[in-house]
Amino acid sequence: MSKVAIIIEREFMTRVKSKQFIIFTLLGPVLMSLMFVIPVLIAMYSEDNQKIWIDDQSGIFADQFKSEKGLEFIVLRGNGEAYKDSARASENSGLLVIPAAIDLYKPDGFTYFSNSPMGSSAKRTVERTLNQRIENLKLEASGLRQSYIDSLQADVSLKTLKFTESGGAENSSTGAATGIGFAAAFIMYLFIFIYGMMVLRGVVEEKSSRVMEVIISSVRPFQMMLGKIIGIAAVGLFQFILWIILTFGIVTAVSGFIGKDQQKDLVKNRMEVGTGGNPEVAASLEEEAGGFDLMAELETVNLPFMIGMFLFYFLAGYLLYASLFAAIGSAVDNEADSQQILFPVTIPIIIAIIVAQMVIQNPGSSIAFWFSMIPLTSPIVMLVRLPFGVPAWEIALSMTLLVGGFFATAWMAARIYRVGVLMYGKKVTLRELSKWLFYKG
Amino acid sequence: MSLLSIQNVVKRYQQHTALSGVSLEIPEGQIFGLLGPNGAGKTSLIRIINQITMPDEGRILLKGQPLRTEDVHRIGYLPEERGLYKKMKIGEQALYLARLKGMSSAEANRRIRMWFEKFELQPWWNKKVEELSKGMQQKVQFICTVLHEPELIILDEPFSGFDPINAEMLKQEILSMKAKGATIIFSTHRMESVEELCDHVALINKSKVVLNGATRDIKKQFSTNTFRIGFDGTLPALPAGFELVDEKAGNDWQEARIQVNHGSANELLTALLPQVTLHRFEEEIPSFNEIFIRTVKTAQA
Repeated sequence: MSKVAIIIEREFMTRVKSKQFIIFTLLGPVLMSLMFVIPVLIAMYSEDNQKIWIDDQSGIFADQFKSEKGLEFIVLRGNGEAYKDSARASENSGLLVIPAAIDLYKPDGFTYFSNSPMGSSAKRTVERTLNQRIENLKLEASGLRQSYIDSLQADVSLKTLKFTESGGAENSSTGAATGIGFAAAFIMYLFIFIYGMMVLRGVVEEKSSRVMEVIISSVRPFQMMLGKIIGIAAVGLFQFILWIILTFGIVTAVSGFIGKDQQKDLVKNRMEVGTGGNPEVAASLEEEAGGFDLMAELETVNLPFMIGMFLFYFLAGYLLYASLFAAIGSAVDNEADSQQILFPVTIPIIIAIIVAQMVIQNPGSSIAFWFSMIPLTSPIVMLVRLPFGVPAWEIALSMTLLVGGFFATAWMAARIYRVGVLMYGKKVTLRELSKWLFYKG
Repeated sequence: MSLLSIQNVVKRYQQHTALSGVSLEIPEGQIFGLLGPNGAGKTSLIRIINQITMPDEGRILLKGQPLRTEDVHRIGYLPEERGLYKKMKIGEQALYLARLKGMSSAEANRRIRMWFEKFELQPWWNKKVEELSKGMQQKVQFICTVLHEPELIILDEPFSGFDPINAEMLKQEILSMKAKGATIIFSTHRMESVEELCDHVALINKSKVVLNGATRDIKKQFSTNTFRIGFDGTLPALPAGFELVDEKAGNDWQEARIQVNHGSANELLTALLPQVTLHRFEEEIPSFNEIFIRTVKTAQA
C-alpha cells in the first residue's frame, strides 16, 4: 500500500469517526430542512394577519382592495376618525385614509396610520391597487370603455431559445439555468471554505504538536500534503452525499405532513434560499415554480454534462485552494497567525462570488469570460455560466488553465510546505514565503 | 567498519552556516554520542541523515552506498521535540507510524502488542495521547521509533521526561538493541549518560567537529596523568618525574594529588608504600562534563 494511501486512510478515518463529524453530519440536514420548512409552517399556523382598515372618503377605491394571505382589508363605512383609536390599540393593524377629493392628475393625501411600520409587501400591494385604480379612472375619463380597458392588459412571457451548433434553436431556460448555476457556485464556495480550512487546521495541528518531524522522516512532505488534501476531499464528498440523502429524506418526510398548497410555497422558499436571497433570481425562479414546468426546464439543461463539469470544477477548484491552504498552514505556528496571511487567498473567492452575481445578469459579458478563465475564480464563475451554455473552446481553455493553475499552485505549495513545516518561531510574510519557493533541498 | 559515513557535509541557511565540512564515521554496532552545545548543528546533521533536508555539499554513505530515499526504513528517529497526534488512540497511532515505515499491518500489530506489553502500555491501547502522562507518551514515542527494528537508531535526548525507573528501563532497552547489532546515534546534554552508554563520541561546536573518537581514547587524551591519594603518615620526597600538585587534610586522612610527568603509577606506588598507609589511590579521570566544557571553551577562546 502506498504511503499516500495510508495517509489518506488516516485523514479520512480519524475525521469520519470523530464526534464532531457525526454531530455536524446529522445536524446539517436538520438545519437545512428547518430552513425550508419553518417559513412555511409559520405561514401555515400564523393567525397574525396584518389588518388594514380602509377609510375611503372618496368612495372610489374601497371595492378595489382584495384581501390576500397575511393581509386583510376591512372597509369602514362612516367616519374613520372614530376608528383611529382602535387602530392605535391594535398591534398589527393600521388605518388607511383616502381623502374625499382626489385630483386624478395629481393624486395626493393618501395616509397610513399605525403603531408598527408597514411591511414592504403590504405597502407595495396598497400602492399598486391605488395606482391601478387611478390609471383605469383616467382611461375611462378619456372615453374608453371598461371592457376595452380590460382587454388592454397583456401578459407576455418571453420564450428564450438558444442557437445550436447544428443551426437550429433549442429551448433555453434562464430560470433553471440561474438556479442551477448559482446553487452550484454557492456549494463550491462553501466546500472550498469548510474543507480548505480543515486542511489548514490539519497542517497546523501536525506542526504545533510536532508530529511533523516524526512523520517527515518516513514520508516526503509532498506525499504528506497530497495525502491530507485528498483525504479531506474524501471526507467532504462523503459528508455532502450524506447531507443530500438526509436532507432529501427529511424534506420528503415533512412534505407528507404539509398540504399541496404549502408545497408550492416550499419550492418558492427553497428557491429564495438557494439563490442567496437575490430577489431577481428568486423572482424568475418563482415564475418557473408558478408554472410548474420546472422539470421540463431542467431537461433543457444537459444534466449529465452539467454534473460532469460540476465534479471537474469542484475537484480542481478544491485541490487548487486546498494546496494554498496547506501551504499557509505549514508556514504558521498556530491557527491565529494564519488569519492575516489567509486574506490574500480568500479575496479571489469573495471576488468570484461577487462576479458570479453579475454573471447571472449577463452570462456572455467579457467580465464573465475573463473571470471564468482565471484559475482562482473560474471554479465558481464558470459553474454559474455553464447552464446558460458556453462555447466548447472556452470550456476547454478554462479547464486547461485550471489544471495548469492547479499544478502551479501545488508546486508552489509543496515548496513552501517543505520549508514551512520545519520552521518554527519565524514571523511569516508574503515576501518570506516567496523566498522559500527558491530554497534548495 | 563504519555503518554510516558522513563526508564533508556543508549546510548553509540564509544567515548562518549550520554545518561546515563535517566528516564523521559512525562505527557499526556501537553507541555513538553526538554532543554539542545548543545551536551547534546537531539537529541539522540529524535531519540530513534522516533525509528531511539535503546537504548543500558533501555526502552520506550507508554501508558504503549513498543514502537513498528507501533507506529511511532502515533508520529510526526519535526527535528531541516529541510529537504525536493528540487526538489519536495510541494503538492506532503506533500502527499508523509503523505502516508509514513500510511495515504490514499484521506484523506491526504483533510487534506493537509485544512492546506495549513490555512497557506496560497494553491497557492504554484505546486511550488518546492527550489522556496519557508525559512519561507514557515518551514510551509510545520510543516504541514508534524502534518498532520497525532499524539498523540505525537516532535518539535525540531520549531520557528527558522519564523518571529514574523508566530511564533505567530505557537504558537497558538501548543496550539490548545494541547487543542485537543495532547502531545507535545518541544526542544528549546529559554527560553522565554519555559516560555510561557511549562507545564513541563526537563533539560539534559552531558547525564544526571539534572532538571525535572512542570514549576510552578521548578520556586518555584528556587525562592529566594526575593521581589522587588518600593516606596516613608523612609524604616522602618524590622521585624525579613526579610532582606534588597539592596536599590537604581530608576528613579521615590526608589527601594529595600527584602528577606523573614521566614514569608509571607503579613507580609512584613503590615510592609511597614504605612510607605511608594508603587508603586510596586512583587516577584522576576527567568527566565528560569537564571535557565538554573545556573543549567548547577552548574553541571559543
